[in-house]
Amino acid sequence: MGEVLAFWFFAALTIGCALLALLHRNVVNSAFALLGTLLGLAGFYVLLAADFLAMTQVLIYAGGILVLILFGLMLTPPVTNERRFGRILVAVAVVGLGAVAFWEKARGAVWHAAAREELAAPAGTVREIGLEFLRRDSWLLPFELASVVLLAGLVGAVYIARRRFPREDV
Amino acid sequence: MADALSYLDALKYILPEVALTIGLCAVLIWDLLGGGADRPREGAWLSLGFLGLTCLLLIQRLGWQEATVFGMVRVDPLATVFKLFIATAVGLVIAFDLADRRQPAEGKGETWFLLLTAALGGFFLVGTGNLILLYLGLETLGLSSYALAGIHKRDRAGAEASLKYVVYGALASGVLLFGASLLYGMSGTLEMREMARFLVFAVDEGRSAQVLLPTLLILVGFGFKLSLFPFQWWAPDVYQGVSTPIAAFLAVASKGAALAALVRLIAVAYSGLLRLGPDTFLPETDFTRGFVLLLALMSAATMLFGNLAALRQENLKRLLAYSSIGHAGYMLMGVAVLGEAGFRAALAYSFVYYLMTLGAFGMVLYFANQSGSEDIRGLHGMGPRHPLAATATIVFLASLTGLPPTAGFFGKWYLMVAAWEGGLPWLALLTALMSVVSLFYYFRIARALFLRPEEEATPLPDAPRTPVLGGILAVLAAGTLVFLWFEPLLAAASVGVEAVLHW
Amino acid sequence: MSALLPFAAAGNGLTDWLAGLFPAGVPFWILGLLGAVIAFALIMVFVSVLAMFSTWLERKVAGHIQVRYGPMRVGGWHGWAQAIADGVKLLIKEDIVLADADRALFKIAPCLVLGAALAAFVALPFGPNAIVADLDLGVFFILAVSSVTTLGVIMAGWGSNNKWSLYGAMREAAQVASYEIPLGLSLMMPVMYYGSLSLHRAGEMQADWFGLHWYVFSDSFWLAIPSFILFFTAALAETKRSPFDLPESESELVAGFHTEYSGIRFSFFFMEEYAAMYLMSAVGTAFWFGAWNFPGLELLAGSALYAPLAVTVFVVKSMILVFVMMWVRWTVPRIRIDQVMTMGYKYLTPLCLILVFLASVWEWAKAALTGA
Repeated sequence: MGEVLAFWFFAALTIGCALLALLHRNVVNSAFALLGTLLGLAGFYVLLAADFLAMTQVLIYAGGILVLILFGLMLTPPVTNERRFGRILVAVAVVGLGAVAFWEKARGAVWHAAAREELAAPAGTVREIGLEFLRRDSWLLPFELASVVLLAGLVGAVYIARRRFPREDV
Repeated sequence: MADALSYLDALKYILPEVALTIGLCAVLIWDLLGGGADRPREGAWLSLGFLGLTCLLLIQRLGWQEATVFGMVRVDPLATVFKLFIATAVGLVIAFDLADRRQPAEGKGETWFLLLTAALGGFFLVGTGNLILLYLGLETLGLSSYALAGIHKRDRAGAEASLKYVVYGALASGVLLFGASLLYGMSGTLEMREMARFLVFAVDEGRSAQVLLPTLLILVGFGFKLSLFPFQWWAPDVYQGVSTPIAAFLAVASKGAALAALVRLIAVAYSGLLRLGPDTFLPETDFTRGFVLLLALMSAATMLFGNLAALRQENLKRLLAYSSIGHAGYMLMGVAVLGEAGFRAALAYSFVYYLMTLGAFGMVLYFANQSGSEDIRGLHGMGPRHPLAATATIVFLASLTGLPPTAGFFGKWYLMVAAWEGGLPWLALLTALMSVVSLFYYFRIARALFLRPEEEATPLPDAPRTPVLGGILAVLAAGTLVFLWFEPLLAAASVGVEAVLHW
Repeated sequence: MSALLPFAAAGNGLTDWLAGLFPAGVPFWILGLLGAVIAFALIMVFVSVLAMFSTWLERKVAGHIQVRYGPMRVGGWHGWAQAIADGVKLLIKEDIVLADADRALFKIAPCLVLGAALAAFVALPFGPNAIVADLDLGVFFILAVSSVTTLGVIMAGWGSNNKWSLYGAMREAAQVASYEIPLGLSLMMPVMYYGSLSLHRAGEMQADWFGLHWYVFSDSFWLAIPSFILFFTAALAETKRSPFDLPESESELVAGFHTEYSGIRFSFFFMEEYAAMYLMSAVGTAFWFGAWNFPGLELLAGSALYAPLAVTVFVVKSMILVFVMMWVRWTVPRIRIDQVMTMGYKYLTPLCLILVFLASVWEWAKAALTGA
């Protein structure tokens, strides 16, 4: 009962805010509306017993990425003469088609059962996640590769954002 | 198996990746310590040195037994060969970049670093049977490519190209991730090999539509990387906007890695739904028929689009972009057969494509160094003055068209045979037709080189000679021309496909 | 409901206490909801009192540092009722919403800011049994939830439609997003020492031995002291306290992001500032300075006095750190925004990374030597 109520609450929050983000005229307000979507997703993760993931979602997306998105939006000139109607139409069409196409399949879908049983984690997933990240035949390699991805992103971003050669700046 | 290996034994299998990682860190630190701005060439030699070491380690691993290490890295002939493909292609791109006299000296250290990172991403992309690692490899490759595309940030066209590439690329990889997560949700595993069982089971139960949706989504991601028909829009703008060496990198290394990964994904995860060679037909399901038709239509549309759009291009890089779209269509034809012969032909063709496309981009670079222009007009009258490079160009063009004495002909021949025998004769005929169409635009380049009078503006006053570039072109041309290596290549591709199919 | 277990784990949360009061048939989610209401009320009262006391304290500290008395009249003894008077004034002030402001954002912002700060209190252990929910995630939860306040500040700055406010918001975005990195990294040292993210667990591990188990006095003290200094510096920046109070620097930006706010909405921002200060100080106390433990206090364990005394110890220790923050504010001049960024990225972050490396080697060696 409680879980079902919470699910619908988070679903309404996620989808409502996503729609708001899509349809709002002002792009900065759209970005603020994303906050609800991101927090709603975090709520889903809580319901799925993924506590660490939920908090990571809040920390990284709400506290980090959204702030950076807003930072970027505030630094760019606002777009005022947007054609709003077209966007709404596209959105409705995409969502409608997606829902129609997926509904039949989703009803018949057999989701993997083991995944559901594993959800009943006794307490906390942090320790397990940490150990899995460093275990050799588990997620060690992707974990390390992720750092290379981030390094490449960092180098690229810093290079492109840098004004000129650094020594001329100082 | 993997569990029996000690940590160091497991590490031995990924030593090439380790060497590459050390190399990219070394290049980054070297750049950080101030080498980048003053002595860009040394960084290139450092990168080439580490790439060479990586290649040596890879060659050493060619004969090794197949193994799965770290739970998800697959070391088999297909992976090793394609790692060599990527490493050598990146090495040549670095050499091209050194020979490019028209670029600013700025950002060289970052360029080397990002090229090595991209190569590392490609290594993991072609060498894994796990969707997470596959995605991470794809992202490493993608993220580095986005940054590489924008490395000349003061160039408006380059900045625009980079932005387009990032936006489309992010969208495509997001869609791919949706598909992968649906597959994971339904099968409960990220390993392609275990997923295969689920897919057969699901299709047998009549839930093929359920399998089709994630398959389509994953195809979008690969379609973007390979610039297949509905997802190819970025390619011409990006290729034209970025510098020629980077365009060559995107056209060759990035595409080759994506093709190998796609073949592995289809051959492993969908192995239960494939037709393994001509004699082991599985009962055809609706799913298989639909999948074949989908891939075949994509392939046909890609060839048509690439070749027809290339007809009217004036800019050489844009022309080559469309031509590389067309070639992606040919390679997809092999994949669409969904059988051993098709995979083998596609992989073999990707090597031919590697030689001739790198050669063609090298040609653009060579003549742009001389004339300062990347348009077809810039080539006017260049033939008689640069006979060697012009002859090499003719070889590349003949091979790209698929004319008989070159490797391009054999590659295309095997693809067409595979398609014909695999039940797609119309696609084989379309390929032949498209080859004729491509003759028109490739011939325009040849005509510009030899049959057009020199214009007054052409030669730059102190046009540098680039003997290294000329040498590379000559070697590539020789490789393209001499078709003796084609049988061994096909055999190697066979071994690669076998390893994947019978994993 | 097993899914919610990690969020109300093991034995000393408020919900478990409530479960003991009701018959067994009452569903978990009703208890949870009830617990949430009670927790909210408790935290709200605590933060209100805290904010009132802190404003008074801040003015007294400022006064004495500047060789004057500060408030002396209201209420008699050292102007103790000054804060109450201020609070009443704020409550009855006109609530102004500007005509040109983005009304929705303008109104949501203060609630978001205060709400996020209050939510973080859920994981604070005031005493061995005085915690709303002993989360397994502990300090990570606090970091994550309080990072949402940044968004509230940006929302306020944007919604006010005022250039000072927007400048303040931009500075806040740049500053807080940057300092989250050293803040999180500096917490890694105690986390490695305790092997847990839970503040409650940290408190339990620092008990006994007359305070010698406090992290700052432990065998890892040489890591504890620099990491605390880094943590405290980053915490000052995170809570927008001087010398990092760029988002509201009154000499340039009037009042930064809350320039346009008045009345109750202004007081929300005000309460958030003190709540955040207390929160960071409490995390510092729990991880470095023995949480609710005090030499000799454990002798009282089991008696009725123990729990209230433990809570008092915790609050007093935290308030001492809050006092240090005030002390810093009134003695150190504000630095420029580029200096703030330089300090965060070029000094704090690398230093934190070095410490993380040293700490991981040290804790690993300790574990290896003791065979744990």
